[in-house]
Amino acid sequence: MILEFRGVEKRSRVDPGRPLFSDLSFAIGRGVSVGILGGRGSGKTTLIDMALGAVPPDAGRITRAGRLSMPIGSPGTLSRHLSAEDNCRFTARAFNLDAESFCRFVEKFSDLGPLFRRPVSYLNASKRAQLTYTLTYAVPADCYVSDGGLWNGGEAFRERCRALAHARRRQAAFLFATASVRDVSEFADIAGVIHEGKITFYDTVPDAVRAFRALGHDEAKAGVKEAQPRTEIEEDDDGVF
Amino acid sequence: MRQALSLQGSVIYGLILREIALKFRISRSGYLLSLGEPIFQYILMLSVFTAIQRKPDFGTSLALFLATGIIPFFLFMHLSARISGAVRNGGLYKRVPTINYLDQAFAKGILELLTLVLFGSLVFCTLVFFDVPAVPQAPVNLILAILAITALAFGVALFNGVLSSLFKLWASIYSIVSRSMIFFSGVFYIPATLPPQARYYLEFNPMLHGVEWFRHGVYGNYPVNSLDVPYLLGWVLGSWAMGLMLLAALKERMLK
Repeated sequence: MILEFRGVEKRSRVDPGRPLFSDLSFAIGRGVSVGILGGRGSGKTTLIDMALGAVPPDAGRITRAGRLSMPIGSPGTLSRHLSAEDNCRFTARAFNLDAESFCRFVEKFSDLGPLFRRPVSYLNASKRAQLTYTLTYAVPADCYVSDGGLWNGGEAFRERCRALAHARRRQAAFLFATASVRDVSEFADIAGVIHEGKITFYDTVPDAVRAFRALGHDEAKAGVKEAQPRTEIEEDDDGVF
Repeated sequence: MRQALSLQGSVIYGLILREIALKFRISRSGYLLSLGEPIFQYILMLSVFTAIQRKPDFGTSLALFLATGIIPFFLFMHLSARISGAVRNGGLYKRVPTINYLDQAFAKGILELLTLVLFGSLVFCTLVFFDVPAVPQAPVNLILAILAITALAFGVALFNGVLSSLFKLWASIYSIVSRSMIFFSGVFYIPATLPPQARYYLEFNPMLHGVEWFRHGVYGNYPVNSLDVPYLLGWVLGSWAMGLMLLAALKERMLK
């Protein structure tokens, strides 16, 4: 077991009267990719934040028995004032990895060219995604976690990133929460659907997809083309001086 | 175990380097700029006291006397302000699974300590250059005093950081209080010259003991009638215990 939720309860932060999850229990084993389908406001982000330990549950236990990744495509370790290179070096140190080989891999894979040595704030959304996705996949983990997309960026990068994600999937477990039926169909071994504070897991992924659609979630109708993770970079400091 | 320690070391080291890089981003001399504030305040104070022809309460050099008061005081004030800020917002803890809640506070504290030690050494070297007898006479005591003040700053900051994350007003109140403590910490005077009544109350202030200890370390023959080391260490332990307990009890509420 890499990650286990047992009897987890959580009320909505915005609307404390509304329970987001009640008596939520499930476990993720080694190497299993678990996709969770949920509509807007169903608690996908809270679920992932709880898995990472960034948000505590109101009741119940969450146990982690392996290394969790930063949320895929999230700003994670990034500071927008530093260059991608400096950010890489810091990321390597934060995970106790060899800084030189880590930086070389990210520089090559993210394909930012000379922008790699400029502050991250100079990157446009697509270039920034190339950096964040590369960075979060480059760190070894036992379970990769995502609150949204699994690959992103410019056309060519996107395909390479998808290949990298599939390579990671052969080595590690995944937990991703998304509204994208396509991602779940392509990438999940097991799929569940969030509905009214419960996650129901189905025997097969297509069953889960059908159940999700039956709840009135239709990608085309909802206009959900791609689930996007949070990419804006909040500074972690209230001033350097 | 060894792996965990090596990861912890790597995280703190990385955070310190990141902090330095962030300071340098404003300008090449960004880091020196952060040294500028205490130097400016010291020079200003020295000019005012020289202008009114104030004699030092101890020793022959006003510059050295003020330095031995203001350096330990700044050490406490800047460290505690920096660290409590980091405790208050938790920083990267929510975004990076290997970073623990207090890691950034430690990294910032260590960097701030190094900066202030650099500032202190600069002042002392300059004084020695101008033939002021500023070479520390009891270096072991000096180092112990610096360590005690650092530990006190960490403890107080821990406590304050947790409180101010839950009560926004607390941060402003503490900032005003801590800045005015300069008048009650024996920076411009020595407690021995005060009336006993005043001394009695001032001796409740742990930083008064910190400054006394620091001065003892520099002068060697400084009268330490007011210095109560166990009292200061009691504050250190007490503030750490209170701070850690508060953090353990309220961490979940802080994250919500």
